[in-house]
Amino acid sequence: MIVPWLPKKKIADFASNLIEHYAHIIQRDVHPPIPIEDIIERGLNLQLGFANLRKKLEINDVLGATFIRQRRICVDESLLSDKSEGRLCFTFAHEIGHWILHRKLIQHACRAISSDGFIFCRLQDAKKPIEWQADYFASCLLMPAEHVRDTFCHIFGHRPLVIYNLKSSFCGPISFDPCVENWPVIAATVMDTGGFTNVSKQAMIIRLQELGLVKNETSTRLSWQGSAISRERITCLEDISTSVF
Amino acid sequence: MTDTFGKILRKLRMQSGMGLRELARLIDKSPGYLSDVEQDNVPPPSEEVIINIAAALNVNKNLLLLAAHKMDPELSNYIAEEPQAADFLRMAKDKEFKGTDWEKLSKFAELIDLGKPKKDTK
Repeated sequence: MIVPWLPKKKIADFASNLIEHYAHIIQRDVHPPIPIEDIIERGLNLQLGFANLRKKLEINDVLGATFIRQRRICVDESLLSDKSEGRLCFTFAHEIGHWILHRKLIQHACRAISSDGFIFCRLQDAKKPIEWQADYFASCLLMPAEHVRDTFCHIFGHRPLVIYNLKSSFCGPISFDPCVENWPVIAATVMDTGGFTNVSKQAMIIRLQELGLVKNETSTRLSWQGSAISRERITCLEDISTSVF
Repeated sequence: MTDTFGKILRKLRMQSGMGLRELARLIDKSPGYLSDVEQDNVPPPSEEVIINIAAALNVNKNLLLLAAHKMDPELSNYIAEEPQAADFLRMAKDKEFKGTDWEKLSKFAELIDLGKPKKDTK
């Protein structure tokens, strides 16, 4: 589906307005971890569900779906067995993004063809504008800019971390010698300090770069694929991260 | 039209401020199953599960049992152990006792001090 272009600022505003709306409903301030499931149920008055979407929709890489007419957001059960809180919550937040940003378009399109409106999200569609917008909304919702900035500044100070090297050139603190190899530690430290317990390290490092707090000057992407570091090794790095800083 | 079991359960869960996953964990069921129950995609769970749900949500179990058209196992056991109670209920059914009849009977039972004092039904 073709969606109109939306500036990042507008998408971020939608996310921030939703948090304000939810805070008004629950009558208290909202801090990370952002209670994404409660935002769906209480904040938006939508039904939340877990189902075998892969079987139901007969699509083998579907992660979530938003059923507009039924006012229902559903994620695939496989996300529960993955035991990945970050991935599960990001999918919920992504579907909220569709609800906020795209439901009117879908409703309009469905009226034209007299069909039930729903959006399903597949891994292979990740680069489509409609999915990109929902992804960006999800990152703004789960990692509000002010909370991420405050946490980052509290740990690393007011200057961004600029990454020039793949590996650490000396065994100094990460704040003086950030490198591609250490991106998971940087992300994990911000997550631990700021209470971002329902996001993944990958999502956090993308958000840090998006906010200009981490600048990658190398040609290697800060991702599990791009980094030389293994997932096993990150466990040890996390253990020592508190002493590093 | 009266609300379905799923709708009543969701309402009670929301009122208690508990998430779907948290409730599923407390009653040892999958979140997928619980969301199916809430959306009435499957029949209401067994009496035992309903009682566990009520305990987890800290609500009166009778509310949920009634919504599921199920009988409290304590009650069915009592009737099974007291044949006269079953006879009495059969008579009440034949005579088509209605709400007001049961109210009168309850008041009468209280008046003549039948049985032990009332227990908490939670």
